[in-house]
Amino acid sequence: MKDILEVDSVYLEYGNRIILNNVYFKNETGKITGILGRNGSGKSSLMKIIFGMVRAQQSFIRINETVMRSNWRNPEDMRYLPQMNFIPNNLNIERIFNDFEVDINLLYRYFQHFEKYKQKTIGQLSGGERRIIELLCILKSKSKFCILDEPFTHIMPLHVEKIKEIILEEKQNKGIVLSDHLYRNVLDLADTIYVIAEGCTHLVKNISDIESLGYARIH
Amino acid sequence: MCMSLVCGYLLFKFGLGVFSSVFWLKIISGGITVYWISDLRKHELFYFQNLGLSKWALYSFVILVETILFIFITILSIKLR
Repeated sequence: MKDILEVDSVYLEYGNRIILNNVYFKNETGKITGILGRNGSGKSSLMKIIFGMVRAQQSFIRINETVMRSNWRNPEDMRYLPQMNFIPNNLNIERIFNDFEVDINLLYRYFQHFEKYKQKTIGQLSGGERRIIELLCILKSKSKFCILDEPFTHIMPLHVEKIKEIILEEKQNKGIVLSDHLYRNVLDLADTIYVIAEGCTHLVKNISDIESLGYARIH
Repeated sequence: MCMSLVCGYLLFKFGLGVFSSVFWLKIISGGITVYWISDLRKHELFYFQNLGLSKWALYSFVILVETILFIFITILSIKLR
């Protein structure tokens, strides 16, 4: 069954500054939606609104046409990878995978060198290693949608390629919303791309739109 | 929990006469702890939110456990005195 996530009529302002105005986008099982935008354009705020961690002045988040009325999100509906490391430092890796009900052997299968970290706490790992664990837990846990805010931060290029493979693999089971300033990776993965400019989402129909919307120079 | 033990010790040492001071000490220290977690460790809330536990569910659980513990330690301190 195909699940559909719709984000509609989002209006967010801080003080007198309008951050998001009449934002709309859609994602569904089997699709990756890329969100691009300049620093401070509201990408992270939009993702937090979807996940219910920021309350906008107006927003309609729908899954299969059912509006999410409260700020609480069922993890089986969506999971969210925030920009910052979010797993408490004192938790060991095995416990984290158990909490997310993800088989830890998947970690060893994709990244063999993690086997030696089995009993370590996440606080003892490097920023890139932490990010890989966070990403795997979010991507591989049971959920209809994954919202990924800057998933490639701190990760070395070889592992970025591996992560891209995992994202494409998981796309078969869920819808993925993705944002990252390493926009080439987003372009490689996404089926649909939106650029947030002046508070609104603009659907990218042609790669040159990214340049004309003032986000990046495409050569 | 440490603060509950400190409160218990104060009640054991000085008796029910200092209960109102101990009570306010507990409330203020609890408020500071909540502020500290919401400000300095706010990203960790995403972990629990991703597991289906909202911020309010977490705070409610902690407040409930702390209150029960405080009442238990208060009664125990007075009885042992």
